[in-house]
Amino acid sequence: MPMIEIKHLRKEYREGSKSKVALKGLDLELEKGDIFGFIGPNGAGKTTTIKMLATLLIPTAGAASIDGIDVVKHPEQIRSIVGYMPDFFGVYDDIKVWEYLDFFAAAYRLPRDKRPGIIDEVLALTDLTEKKDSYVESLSRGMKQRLCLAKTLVHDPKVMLLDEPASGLDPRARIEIRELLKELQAMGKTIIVSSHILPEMEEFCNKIGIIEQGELIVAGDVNTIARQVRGQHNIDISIVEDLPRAMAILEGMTDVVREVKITSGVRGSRRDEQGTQADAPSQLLQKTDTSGRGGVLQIGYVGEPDFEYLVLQALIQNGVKVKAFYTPETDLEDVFLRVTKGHVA
Amino acid sequence: MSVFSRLIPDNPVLTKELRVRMRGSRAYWILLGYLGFIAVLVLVRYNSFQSAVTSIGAGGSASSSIGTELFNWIMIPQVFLVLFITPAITSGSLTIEREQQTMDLLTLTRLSRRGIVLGKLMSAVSFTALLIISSLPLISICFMLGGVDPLQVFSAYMMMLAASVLIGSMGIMWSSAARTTTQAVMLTYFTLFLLFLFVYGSFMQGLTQKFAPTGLPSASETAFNALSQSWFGNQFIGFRVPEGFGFAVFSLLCGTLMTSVATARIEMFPDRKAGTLRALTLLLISLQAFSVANWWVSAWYHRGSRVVMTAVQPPIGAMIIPCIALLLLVPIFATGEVASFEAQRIGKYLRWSFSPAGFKRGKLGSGIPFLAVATLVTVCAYWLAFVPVGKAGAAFHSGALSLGLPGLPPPAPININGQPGETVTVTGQTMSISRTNGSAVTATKLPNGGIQVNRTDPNGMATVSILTNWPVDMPVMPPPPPASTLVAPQTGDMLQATVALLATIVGFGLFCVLCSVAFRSRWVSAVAGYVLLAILWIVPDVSTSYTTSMKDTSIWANLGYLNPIQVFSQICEPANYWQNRFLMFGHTPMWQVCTLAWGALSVLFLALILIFVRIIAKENAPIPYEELVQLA
Ligand SMILES: Nc1ncnc2c1ncn2[C@@H]1O[C@H](COP(=O)(O)OP(=O)(O)OP(=O)(O)O)[C@@H](O)[C@H]1O
Ligand SMILES: [Mg+2]
Repeated sequence: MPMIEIKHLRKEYREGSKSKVALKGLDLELEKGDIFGFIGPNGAGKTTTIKMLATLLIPTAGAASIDGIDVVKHPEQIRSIVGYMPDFFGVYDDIKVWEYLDFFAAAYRLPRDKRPGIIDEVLALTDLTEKKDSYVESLSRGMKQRLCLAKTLVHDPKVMLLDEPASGLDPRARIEIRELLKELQAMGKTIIVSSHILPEMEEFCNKIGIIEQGELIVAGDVNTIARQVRGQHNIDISIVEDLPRAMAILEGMTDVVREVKITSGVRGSRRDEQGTQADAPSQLLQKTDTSGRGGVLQIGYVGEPDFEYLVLQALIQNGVKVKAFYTPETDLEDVFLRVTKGHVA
Repeated sequence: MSVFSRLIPDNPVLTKELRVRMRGSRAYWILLGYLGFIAVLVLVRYNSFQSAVTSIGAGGSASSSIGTELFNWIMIPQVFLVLFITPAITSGSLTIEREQQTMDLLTLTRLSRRGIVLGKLMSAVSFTALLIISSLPLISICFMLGGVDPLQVFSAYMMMLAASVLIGSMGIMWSSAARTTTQAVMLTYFTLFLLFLFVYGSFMQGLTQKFAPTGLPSASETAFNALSQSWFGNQFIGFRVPEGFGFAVFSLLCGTLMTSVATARIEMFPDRKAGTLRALTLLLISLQAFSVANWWVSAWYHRGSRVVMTAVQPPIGAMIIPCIALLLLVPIFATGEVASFEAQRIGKYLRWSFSPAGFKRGKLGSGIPFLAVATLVTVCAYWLAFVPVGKAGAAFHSGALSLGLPGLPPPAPININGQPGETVTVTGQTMSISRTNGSAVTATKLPNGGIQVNRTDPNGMATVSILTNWPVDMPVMPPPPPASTLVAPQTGDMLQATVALLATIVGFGLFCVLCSVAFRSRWVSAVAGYVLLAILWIVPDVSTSYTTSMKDTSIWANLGYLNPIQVFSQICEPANYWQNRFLMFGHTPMWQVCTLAWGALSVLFLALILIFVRIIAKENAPIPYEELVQLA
């Protein structure tokens, strides 16, 4: 039996007399121990989905169950096995870190004498032990985020729903959260994490889903998706001279290379064609360039990541002078532009 | 963990709130300011008293009166502080959770919503309790001076605690309904103001009645007197209790009702909790009906020491209080929304509404059935009030006791002049009069069966007690009217009043339903309902007061036919009621016209409702998931 089962889940928000569809029939199944990365741009419907699973919103249609329990029919049972971390949350004023955790431990009906031990445990897990007696509002944003995670862990939930746990954090804090999630993964929890950013998910998610405008465009095993997505992911090659020859070689490697584009080299030659005489130095530059015709090429690589070097090797063996060969950081926007073109779906 | 901590209820919300409230020095400053303020008041008063004593040289009796006065000086500001501090704490309690985005985290825990609301309420009440209990030592000054008995202090503190529960619950209720804390605070203080006017008004009513027992108040005046007696008197549903016991009971019940509203409102499916709210409302309103009727019935039958405060109207007037409450409840229970899928299967929807499951859900369709049931339960409560005095049958015709016919002069009062121990015979019935001092006592039998005791002792020290039961349910009948005079009004009692009340509640309920389906907004239709109610309440009386003859009567005066309170007034005061009142149907009993008018309006409303339901059914909006789950 899958741990999380979502069938045709749909949500419409009422806006006056009209209704706005935020989620158009989501289907998803996750097994126990899965870490699911839920990726999508702003307004895609990630928060809506997660809130419905957390029993905070009522679906308009469809069904969802966690551990075999329907989220609409038995919200009380769901709440005791699910830990939810919202995208935005506040903390109480005038309360200490341990009191905050004690409050939630008591609210989850943990026996009174076990609470101090559990609080120490979750504090250790989230690296907040030395903040135990500080006031909650004095914590930094990253610490508050970790405190919220600690609170989510207090009742040892089977399933964790984390809505952008790393948003608004600096790189160091992001890495800390990522490490923490890896630990949770090791503890065998089923986790749904939402994010805007794909690369940070790859490391610890075993399944990934990309959602846009309420539709799940792609979902499945992280390796499968990664291959597909990496097909879209670009390699920039900066070449000193003889651009056409490099292009010819690359276009010949049809099994791993797709879509060869000239990026910065094109711009230079265009300016040349327009023939702006006023700009003498630049004209000079262009002149020296035209003989060799160097520039930057962008290719879409679809092969295995470890064999990227073969492309480089082929170029060099053919005498192309390669200045740089690098992968620009893939951001979601980029993936999305491709995904919506139908390259993946 | 100590044994002691195990005894404290494990409500994390309460623990957290108390921890935070007593954190730092803030709580102590508030306490200091509070006690300081009262202490200064006491000091000022005590000083002025002392200077008065030294200049005049007053005796011991002055000391006890100054004790009483000091007690008031301590209690009155305390009451106001409690009334203002409690809602300040509670009215933000739920909106703040929403504003600082902690509500979701809280509701996802295994805490029940009731636990959350009660935790918030208890933390506020325990803080006010701390404040007022810390002022107890100041009260000891009053004991030293005399004039205050411990029971009085107990009563005062009990009422203050009960009031803080009541007002605190009201704050939480508004907090659950409002969007922002500011809104919640404003709504709370506004309701507090209205409530204060109402309670103060009915309390003052009670006071005036106490000091002017021989006046003849109108039926509604007596009704409010009965209400104030049931709250602040020392009898409650037939038991001797400390003063204010009734107020405490009703405050706690009302507080429970309001916290339940708050609980339901923060629930994911608020209408699933409607059953609890309805049951509590029913309990509250029937208990109030019973206690008011109980006071009235026992006053009517001259029980105990209330001889001097005889109710001069038949007890059916006691129904005015629950009648007002029911009318005020109609716009709350008979407004709502009808979804298009419900409109499409209106027959099935209505049948379901009438089932017990339908009653439990707060659906619009079950509002009017609930109100009708509430009306009948209230009538039963009224009838039950006659059972303890062994006159269950009298409930059906006590109004028929009323005498006097329009156009006839009221019958002359029968004067009874008695000496101590003497037996006086009055139209075949016996009554003996005793007196405690030497002065002569006269009692006057009033035409409607009441007794007016005329105390001739100038000091007002004479006490009168009637030794044998004065048989009021066998009144002195006036001579039969000459055939030439007006036809006697057919006045009735419980059954007639019930029919008219039921017709009004159903008709007015249908009006609210009509507004709901026409405006498609619960708030707008509730406001429309209250506006109609206000018009029916105020306009006819204003119009009547400007009318001097049948010729210049206006249609507005006739709106009074739609007001069931007029029905009760007419039943209670058949003789006076028609004076200066010129209505369309002459002296036809009000209940008949009221029933027919509301019946006709109901048919009209029903027809219009069906038209609007047709329109809604055409909309074809999707069925909400929640309903699908229910239907499956
Ligand atoms: N309470 C609401 N009322 C009306 N529309 C809403 C509401 N909440 C969300 N929406 C709409 O639903 C859609 C999905 O929103 P959602 O918050 O699920 O997106 P998201 O993927 O979490 O975005 P983000 O990355 O910005 O957090 C959006 O178009 C949003 O405008
Ligand atoms: Mg979001």
